[in-house]
Amino acid sequence: MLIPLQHNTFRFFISLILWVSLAEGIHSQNTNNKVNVDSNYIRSPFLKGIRVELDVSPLVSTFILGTEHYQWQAATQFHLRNQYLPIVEVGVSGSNIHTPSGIHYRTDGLFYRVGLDISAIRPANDRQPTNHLLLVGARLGYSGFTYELNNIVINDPYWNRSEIRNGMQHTTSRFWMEIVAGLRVEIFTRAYLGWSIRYKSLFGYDVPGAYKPLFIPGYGMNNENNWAFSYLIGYKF
Amino acid sequence: MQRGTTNALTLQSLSVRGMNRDSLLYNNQSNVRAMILPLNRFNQVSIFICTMNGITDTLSIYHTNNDFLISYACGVVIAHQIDTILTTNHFIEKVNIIEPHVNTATTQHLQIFH
Repeated sequence: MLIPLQHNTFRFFISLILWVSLAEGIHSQNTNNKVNVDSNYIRSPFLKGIRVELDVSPLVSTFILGTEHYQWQAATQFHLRNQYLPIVEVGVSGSNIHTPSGIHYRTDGLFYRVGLDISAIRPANDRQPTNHLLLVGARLGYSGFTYELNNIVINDPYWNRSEIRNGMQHTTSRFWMEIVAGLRVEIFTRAYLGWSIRYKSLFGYDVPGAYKPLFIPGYGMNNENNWAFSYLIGYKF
Repeated sequence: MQRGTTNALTLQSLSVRGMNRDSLLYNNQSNVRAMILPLNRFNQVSIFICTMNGITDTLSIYHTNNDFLISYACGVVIAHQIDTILTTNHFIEKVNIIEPHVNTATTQHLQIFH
């Protein structure tokens, strides 16, 4: 059964609100804890903050370019000692494609990614840490989704019969990995702007002849590899 | 095939049409050593009326049909799995299934013995 877009979007924003609430709580906890300050050495706390960010690149790709696909995603990233930054990403994505053969492909679905970034900017002894981030990392992505196929035309010219198949629904899931590089600049206090570029590689393969998914939420077109670009705004708690 | 051998037999004349179809697949064609028959994409049996060297037999091919997506750009074809062959035995002695899976590849699937 096809997952309605509205339902996915609702779940996506509920998840986002929960993350923001979690991040606010941790920030309050950090401000209540005293950090020992040495005159010559400032020890960095283990958790330096939580940054929440939203990919705003769909504002261009979806609404201006009018593509057949849409994708909205948000992320929560944990700053551990200003070097290691585990991240959880969640989003909703879909497509509505009319293929050259006339087959109409439609899907909507949630996707999830977990991973780790490493900051390439490491100030000596952490004395004057910069809040800007040059990140390289990896992700493991997952999406479980339903796709619907319509207008599959099959002709039998000799036996003089034709059929058009509609409403064929398939449910499946896919895993993939990503290598990510990006930059985050603190434009105002705690407010970040940045971009990421991703190289994605799909796990597994499709059985020849099967009605494989044409588009995978969070991964993109069902190619062996994909590239993606994100433009992000964020806030650090 | 000639009876008891694996030598291909050349038919002096061959006419073939599908059951309840008017159009001929082969129309009194001479010097025929192989024929290509279209299986029905929506029924589980394809029946052909074959007249070989002036003698008529009915060839019934029972098969399953499965969608095969070539690609989203090229579309879908039907692949078949041949299960059973039934035939009358006026000219044809027997039919062997060589390759039951029928798809877009060109290969020999049946051997008809006389």
